[in-house]
Amino acid sequence: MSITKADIANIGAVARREFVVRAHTRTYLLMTLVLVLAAALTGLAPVAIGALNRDATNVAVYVGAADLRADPVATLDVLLNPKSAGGSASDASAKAFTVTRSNDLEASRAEVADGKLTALLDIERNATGETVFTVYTRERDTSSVAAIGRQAASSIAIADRLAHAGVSPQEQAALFAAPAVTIQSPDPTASVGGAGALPQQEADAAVMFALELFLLLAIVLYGNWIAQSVAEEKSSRMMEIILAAATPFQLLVGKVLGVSLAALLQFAAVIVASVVAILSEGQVATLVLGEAAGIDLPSGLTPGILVAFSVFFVLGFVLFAALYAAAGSLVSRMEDVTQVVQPMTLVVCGGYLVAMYASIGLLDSRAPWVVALSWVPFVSPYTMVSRLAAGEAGPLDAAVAIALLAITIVAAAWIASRVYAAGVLMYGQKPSIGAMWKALREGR
Amino acid sequence: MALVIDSLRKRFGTVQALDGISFTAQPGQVFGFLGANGAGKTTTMRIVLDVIRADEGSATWNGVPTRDVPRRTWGYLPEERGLYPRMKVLDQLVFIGVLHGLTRAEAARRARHWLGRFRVPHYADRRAEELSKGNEQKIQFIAAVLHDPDVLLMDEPFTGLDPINVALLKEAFLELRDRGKALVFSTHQMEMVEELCDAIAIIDSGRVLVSGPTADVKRDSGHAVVRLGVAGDPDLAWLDALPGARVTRSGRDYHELELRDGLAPGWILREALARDAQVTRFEIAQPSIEDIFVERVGVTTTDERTLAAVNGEAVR
Repeated sequence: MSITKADIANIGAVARREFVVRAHTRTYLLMTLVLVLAAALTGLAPVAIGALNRDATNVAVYVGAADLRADPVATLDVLLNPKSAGGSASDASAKAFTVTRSNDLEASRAEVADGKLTALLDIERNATGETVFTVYTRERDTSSVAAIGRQAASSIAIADRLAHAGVSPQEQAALFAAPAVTIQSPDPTASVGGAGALPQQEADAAVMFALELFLLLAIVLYGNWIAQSVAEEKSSRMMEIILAAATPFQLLVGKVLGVSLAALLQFAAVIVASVVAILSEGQVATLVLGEAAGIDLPSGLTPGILVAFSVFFVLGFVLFAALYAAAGSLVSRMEDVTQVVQPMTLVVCGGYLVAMYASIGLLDSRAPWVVALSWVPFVSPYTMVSRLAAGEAGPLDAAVAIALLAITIVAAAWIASRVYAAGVLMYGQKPSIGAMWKALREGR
Repeated sequence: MALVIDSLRKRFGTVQALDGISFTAQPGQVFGFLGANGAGKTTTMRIVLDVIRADEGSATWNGVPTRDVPRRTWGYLPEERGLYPRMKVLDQLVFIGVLHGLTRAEAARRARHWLGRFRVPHYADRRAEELSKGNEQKIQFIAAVLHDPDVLLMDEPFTGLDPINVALLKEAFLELRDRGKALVFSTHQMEMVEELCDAIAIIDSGRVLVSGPTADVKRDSGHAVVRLGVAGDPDLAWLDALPGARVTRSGRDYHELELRDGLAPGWILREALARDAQVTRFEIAQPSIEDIFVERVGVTTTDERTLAAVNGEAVR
């Protein structure tokens, strides 16, 4: 089928109507707003994580024991605020816990009850001269506060015993100096990163997750909308009037283009919002956290990955949009739409889940079937992108997956326009494989 | 210059929807397409519009297969018609006009003109779901004529309209006809056919029973209709004894008779005068389209039932 000038004019008119109608709905405007905000927030996640960590938790120590030859405040401080390799934790502003000395046990216990203090460590001495510890806290006894309390208690008790046995504080410091420990990935090429790597990785992953989730939402929501829009034209019998003016092919392509445009506009807004958020992270961090906060750009989100994702996004969306339109043409009542689009929704959710599970480690991302799925056109927008982001697939893999996807789109468009051409004139039939087959044979 | 439908056949599964439909609709004429529900009217129109394809036969406009004729040649008012429920009337009309090749500005200008002509200019900014059925129908008619098509195909355009709107629509019909458009419409309202149609086709079960100029169809129906009134004899009981005449309608002061094939109307007048009747009314009339329709469609239906029974098929 060659495309004529009339085709282009009518496709444009149909696309324009779809876009205008969609863009004017309250749902669309609201969803765009929510998505843009969500994108900006996920982009700023490292700042948020930093800001949350900055809020120090207060812990108090009350020493009731006579002649305690240990410094409980310093011991707790070291245990609660371990020095990281970068040394930024020594900065007072970055400390997670503040440790103070209490002179009034009852008053401090009341503060714990009020929530002003997270924990109170009470040190007493019993009749045999041994130190006895009580941790007052509202946390559960399996919480990290309780665990650190136990650890601190044993350190303080040992320091006290050693001091009574005549070991000097200098000798103790040498004895208890922390050994060097490095956390290393088993993969020699990948590095876990230095200081502050953890929140940074979380931010990368969050942006990637948000993008993938957005593709899922876009396909399911807009796909449904396309199917509903086709079914609405059929159920309102508007289809009869339009079919005299435009061919099914023009209608199908125009509809897919119009809705895609609305979806892509939203996508572009989301991308711009997250890029702006990520680029302004430094400034925002300085504003929120003060001068000392140094936050790097997300390292996993390279421009290359973003471009690859955008290509997969557009192609994946168009593929499913055509299929949703064909599915919508098979039903005559709005109520049947959900049922007829189910197979597509299952495929798209399946692809999303596999990719997500693989990237958070619930599935082995190197398992042959996960690797194979990254080439399969219907799910490659998820599976290939997650492998790309993990650095397990290269540009060549992406190019092949994109080529396969493009071929599938051509095939799907052909099938969809045949199904659509026959489907829009079928009334009163249950959506079924049989109906689809009939549509495929009769359509042209 | 004509829309020529020639021996169209179309089968849907086990149903032979069209079984050799042929007729010709001329420009500058109104063509009535009569048939019971399910006779094949909609299928014929859809084939002309190339929405579906015929198994056999052809549909041509000025000698060109209709599928090769630009779509803006056609204006279509389907029987099962709708509008986008939540779209403004003007926007819908512009959308359809643009699909037919008009510019947006031109489509809007013409839409406003037609809305004014149908006395509903204030509907431009209303949403379709706010309109009554009859008003929706006017909008749908405007959608069909907005691009000034050469051929108008309309399925039951008058159904559900009040008398004022029927008059407005008739006026539009006649104006389009006078401008040389070919108008083809289907209807069950026989008085519309009598009033508007230059030519008709009566179809049933996918076959044309009779077609041609309305006057020819009436003349060729084979029956003369006579209206006879006699002073002081309201019952005209003596007519029962005449084998060639059958009373089809009994009025207050006259009776309508149908004469058997070949009998001249003068014969019944002579019979009356022979009985010393005081004739107050004697009128030679043509049978109404309704009579022809009921007679032709009714007969075949009976025939088919008989045939079906003979063939041992279930009679529904």
